Amino acid sequence: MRGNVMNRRGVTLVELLIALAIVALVTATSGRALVTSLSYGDRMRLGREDQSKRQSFEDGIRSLLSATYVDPDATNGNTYFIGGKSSGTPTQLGQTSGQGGNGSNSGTLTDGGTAPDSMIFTITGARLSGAVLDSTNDFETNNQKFGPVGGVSEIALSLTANNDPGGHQGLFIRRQTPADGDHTQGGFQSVLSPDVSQITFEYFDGTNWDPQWDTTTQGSRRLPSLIRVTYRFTQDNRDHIFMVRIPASDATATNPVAVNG
Amino acid sequence: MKLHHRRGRGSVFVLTLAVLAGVVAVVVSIAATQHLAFKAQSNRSAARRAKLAADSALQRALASLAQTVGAGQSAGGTGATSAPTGRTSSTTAVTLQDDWATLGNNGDERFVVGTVSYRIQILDSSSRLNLNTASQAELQKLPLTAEQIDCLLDWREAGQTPRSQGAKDSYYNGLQNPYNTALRRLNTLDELLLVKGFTPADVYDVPSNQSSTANLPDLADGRTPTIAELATTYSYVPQTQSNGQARVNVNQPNLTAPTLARAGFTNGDATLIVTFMNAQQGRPVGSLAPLLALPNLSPTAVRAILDGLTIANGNRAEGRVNLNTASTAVLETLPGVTADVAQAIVQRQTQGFTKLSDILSVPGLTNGPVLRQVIDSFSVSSSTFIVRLIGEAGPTQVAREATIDVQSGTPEVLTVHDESFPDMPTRWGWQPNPSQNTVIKGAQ
Repeated sequence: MRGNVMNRRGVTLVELLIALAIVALVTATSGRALVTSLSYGDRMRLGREDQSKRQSFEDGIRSLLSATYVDPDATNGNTYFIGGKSSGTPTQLGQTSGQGGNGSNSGTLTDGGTAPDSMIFTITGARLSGAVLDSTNDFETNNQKFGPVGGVSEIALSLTANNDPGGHQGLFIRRQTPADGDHTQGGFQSVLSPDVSQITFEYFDGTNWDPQWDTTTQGSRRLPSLIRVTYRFTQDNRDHIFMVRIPASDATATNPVAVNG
Repeated sequence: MKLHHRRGRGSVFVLTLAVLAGVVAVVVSIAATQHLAFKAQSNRSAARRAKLAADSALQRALASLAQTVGAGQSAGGTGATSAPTGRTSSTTAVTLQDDWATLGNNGDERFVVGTVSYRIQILDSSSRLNLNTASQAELQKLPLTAEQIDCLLDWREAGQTPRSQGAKDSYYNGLQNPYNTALRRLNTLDELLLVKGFTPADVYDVPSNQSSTANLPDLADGRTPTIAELATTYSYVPQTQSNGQARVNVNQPNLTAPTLARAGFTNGDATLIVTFMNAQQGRPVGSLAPLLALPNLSPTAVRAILDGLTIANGNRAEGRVNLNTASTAVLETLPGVTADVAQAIVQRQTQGFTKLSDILSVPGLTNGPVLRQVIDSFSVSSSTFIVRLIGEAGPTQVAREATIDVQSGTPEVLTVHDESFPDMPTRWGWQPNPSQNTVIKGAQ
């Protein structure tokens, strides 16, 4: 009987209010935590995407540059390494603002429009795709399906495309297999990274950083030992710098390359 | 009434469970995303570390070549070396007993550096047939079709008139994706893929079509060699005598007996050779064979011809095969070299040929017609090498191949590329798992 009475007794207003308050507090706290963690997760995702975009861009440039090849045989005009500006004479980063100099990098990409922003070079050992390797077709069908593969390829990197009908931006890559000795044109052009808004290439000759390099005119066919790439993505206002060592270079501090620049 | 209450309590429980399940689902999905991102990041970093391991392996190979080959071939060197440790060439000879050849135990030794490791194998480029200098007769011994041989010769030679089964610009310009004939030496082995008739299977896989004249023996480890393993496009040997001095060019104008004395000729033998060269009236000899065929040569003179003379200027010659490192398969591609002779040469490799005249002790290669046929193809030295590398970080592997040129005693990288195939250790004939681990630096 006593139990029955107790069972039928409702909750008091105070109890209800306390219960409501607790529920509200818990909901608010956990909701807030959820929102924070979701937005944090979102920011992390964006950060990761940005980082992986930069990493894959840098790795792409790295693998291209480290395959750089210039035939030691001077009669071979089909191999070269030319770095500079697509038009006009380039100056080194930091020098346009009247400060800095060789070896120091006090300048930024916004210093002036004279930064060396294009590079044309020849590479060997371009990786063959699995489709090419597994193909059981004959030579002509392979040529038709995959284009020419093997040997020395010419790679041109530039912010301006050859004969661009407009509407494209970013860093363009022109790839020609086999390299034909004409470094101004040929092959297929595509966008390597649509996000790059500014880029600069500088060349280390063993003792100094140089804004240009040209194995076709500088008398020796030697390569820079390091290439410093400074770039900026459209959505990002920071300069990113990375360096690539050229394995085929013999330039050292005791045996630097004479660059006529 | 009681029952009703119980039901009420049950529904609250179910509701609580549902909310809890929702929260857990959200947490799990966030954790899964994070885990995936972490995995991706750690894979990327493993790939980078594997590449760095491959980089350091290349430096290790360069150091080894500098110490062994470079020291023996340094400019003006007498062959005496001052390398602190290890076996170095006491002469300019490059043999399979040198430190460079034993480094990494043909890929069977894993060098562990902290959390990464690498494996190395260094090969002598001159142990292979050079496609840029190989004659038609030599190419015919390779597992190639007549069409492939004609096209390869057309590709590397000047002129626009194709051979009967060959191809020049008139063919290549008409392809769906056209280009020009190189008309010059091949730069890399994969340039073959640009030559009419060559597919990746022809270059990289074991030849299935043995209908050609080629029936080459297997490699020492029992694998059938592929074109990629038999051939090279870059091989040079130094044109030096075993004491490190330059060989004497018999085709130089005004050749005199005192000049020949530098190559170890006695006065009488030197006069014989000078008389023969004068009788040529300025026409250069294209081979040392006619000199070996001179009557009345002393045995010392035969040795001096092999060890001290050359037919061209320049401090190195392209496309010679190093007797110390060549396999029977490569030796048998040379005209005149029978299976028996190739076998005898390979058996002698454990002892090593220190100078070219050591070849006279190989059965079948005494001063006679066979020797005269092959003498311009051989050397006992080399200055070009192929380095095979694997960089490993956890399960991630990077396979690389580099061409190294040792000039004036300093090894330099000519080309380096990542391999396209995922199963390079098998293709190279390496053990899947190396039997020996050498810890350079323990994991921290």
